[in-house]
Amino acid sequence: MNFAPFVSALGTTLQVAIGAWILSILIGLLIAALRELEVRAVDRALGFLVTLVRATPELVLLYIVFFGIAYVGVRFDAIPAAVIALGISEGAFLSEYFRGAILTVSGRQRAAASSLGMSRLQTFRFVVLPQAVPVSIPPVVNAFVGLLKMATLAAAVGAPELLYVAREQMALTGDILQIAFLVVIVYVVITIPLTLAASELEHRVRSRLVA
Amino acid sequence: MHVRSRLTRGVRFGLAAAAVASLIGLAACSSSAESAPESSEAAEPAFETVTPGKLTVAPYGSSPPAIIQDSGKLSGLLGVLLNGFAEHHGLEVEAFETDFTGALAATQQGRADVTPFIYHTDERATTVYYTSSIFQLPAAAITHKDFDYTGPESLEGARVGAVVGQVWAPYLTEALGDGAVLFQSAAEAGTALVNGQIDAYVNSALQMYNAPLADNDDLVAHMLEVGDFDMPSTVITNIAYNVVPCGNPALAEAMNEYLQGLEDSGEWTKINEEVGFSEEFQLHEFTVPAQGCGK
Amino acid sequence: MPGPQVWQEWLELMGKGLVGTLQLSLISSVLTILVGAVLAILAVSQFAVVRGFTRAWIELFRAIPVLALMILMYFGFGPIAAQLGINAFAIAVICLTLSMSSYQAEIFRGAIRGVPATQWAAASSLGLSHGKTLRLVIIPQIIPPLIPAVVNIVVGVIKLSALASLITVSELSLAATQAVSISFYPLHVYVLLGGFYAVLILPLIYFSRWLEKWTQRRFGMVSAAIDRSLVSKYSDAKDEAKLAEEERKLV
Repeated sequence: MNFAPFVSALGTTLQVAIGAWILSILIGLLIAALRELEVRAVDRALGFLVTLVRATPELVLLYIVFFGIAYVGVRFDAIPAAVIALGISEGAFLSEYFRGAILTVSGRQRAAASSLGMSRLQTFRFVVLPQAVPVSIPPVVNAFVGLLKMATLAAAVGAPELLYVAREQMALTGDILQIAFLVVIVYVVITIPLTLAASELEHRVRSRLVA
Repeated sequence: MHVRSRLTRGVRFGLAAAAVASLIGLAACSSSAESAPESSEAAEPAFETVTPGKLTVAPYGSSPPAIIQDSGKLSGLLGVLLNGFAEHHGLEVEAFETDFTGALAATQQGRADVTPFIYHTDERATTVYYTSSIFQLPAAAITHKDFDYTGPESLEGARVGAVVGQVWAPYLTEALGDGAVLFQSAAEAGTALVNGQIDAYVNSALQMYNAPLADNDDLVAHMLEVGDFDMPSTVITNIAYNVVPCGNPALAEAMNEYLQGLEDSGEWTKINEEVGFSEEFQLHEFTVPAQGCGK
Repeated sequence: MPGPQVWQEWLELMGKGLVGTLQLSLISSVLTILVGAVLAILAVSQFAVVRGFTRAWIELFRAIPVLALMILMYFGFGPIAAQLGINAFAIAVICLTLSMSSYQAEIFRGAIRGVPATQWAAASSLGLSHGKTLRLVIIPQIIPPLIPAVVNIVVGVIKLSALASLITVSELSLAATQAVSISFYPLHVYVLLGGFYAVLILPLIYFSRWLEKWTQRRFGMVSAAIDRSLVSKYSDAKDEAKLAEEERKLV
């Protein structure tokens, strides 16, 4: 079996997954922060957008970013389009998790901070954020695992990634069982160490912060 | 303060990452901005391509022996034809690897120059420009030898496979309803037939010469006749064309010219044979179907 | 721009596909929740062997993409599936369930662990068995925060059901591919497809928000991550502080 196409396809998968992951964290944080500002109009507008994005299949988003936006003159290449579309999609999901994490910090702590004379921004930076971070680790890691698998959508706009190449090779060689097992093993080998490391990380961060 | 410096670093890192991300985004935008078409060093080209010096082909996967796509390299009858055409005009072939919908959208939008192996309907012709005909595929229902095939009626209630996107698929779904099982590629449908997951498989008889059906002695192809499943003659014998964007008829015409040249020199017959297209599938007189761009 | 006839054709096609998607999503969601609950319970079992095996199972199926699983089972194990009479729909349900139940199990497990250990200790000191503790003490407390998470899983199932189109299951995405093949308007069809999925998913999201508020009123459980309006926010904290300040002045 020729491994060469799989190797470069894996590279594409990782590029899309990592790029989209970073973008989704940034977008998620941005949206969560903006909504915490408590400007009613902003909160409701963002809330509606987030819900809309969550309700749309990622493939449709990708099509819109890659083919649709071209109608207004902006053209992205396949991989950047995939990164943007998946980043927006996952960012919408993450923003909900980040907001939840922020809210797990009890109101009493905020009242205490406020009565100490800390401004809202200071409260956010020094009280809320350090506590929200460990709670956010699992969804953030999950987001990466999810994106690794969603990177397969990039094939729909011409970025040949792992599953697409696997199916292409299956059609050419007829070795379905072999190739399917290979793909499964690759995903397992990449993902499991990640999730193990993540729960270890969460464990440590949590034990340090639980006073 | 310990926490403070970590956070400030965190904020700074976040801003830096955002800046980097937006720079990458801008770079991607500008890198794919359309460059003005230049004339190549070779003879003045009669047509333009999406990327000067390259012929961007968007096939939708492999359908041997008509077209084979392996990591960006094309072969099979259409592959050889397109590679030869590109070489003749001093172009490099670049493949746009994606599925049917993506390939079609790419050509329509002018991200790809040509999508090969498309059949013609008047409806489709309003969105893409067709080249001349290239080969023909008469329809057959392929079954295992022990299946009692006596005509299309014998397929009622059975599971009949077809490849979505091929001309025969809509007729089968219309006639058989849930009995029609749609696959994404010929290889998958063939595998399912061999596995016994479908009872019959409608495609061209050409499939009998390919994997996964080729080495299987247990299969037989029953040719379909005009009127089976309400299929008219243009569908029973499917003609394959290539399509280019509506805005680039010059490319189609250049391809037609090239193909005619191959036929006139006798090369075309040789290529067909080398690739495994036997006589019943070959075309030596090429027709251009009714175009519909802009309607 | 395609004419009204064409849109009608598409709507007909996709209407039929919608039935398939609904069937697939409904059955898979129910099974996912059931299997996820079983896995979560096994994961907190008293026996280390059971815990270990469940852990491995969950990690395995979280790592494998659903599409790879479907292709492996439908095409890879095709001959076996054919002999056992397992069709594409069944395989799609199995794969969706196997994959999503692992995520579901993690959510259930996180919720169970979210209950303070003191409750377990208290229940045990009252003489409640492991099973009774779960049933009477832990589970009723974890329902409200679970609702949005479960809905997320169902939304995930609906979106992933689109992959079943690649193994011949008749549902929305396959209908969309057929629609594209007939009229050659990929972008329009896909926007329509997005619309169909949004029509399925948006009501679910709004229903889940309503359900959260209802369980809160009904069971009186406040879960911080969920109801934004009930948890005190910065402005409340500031008001509280102001109030405290004023009270001090009065004294």
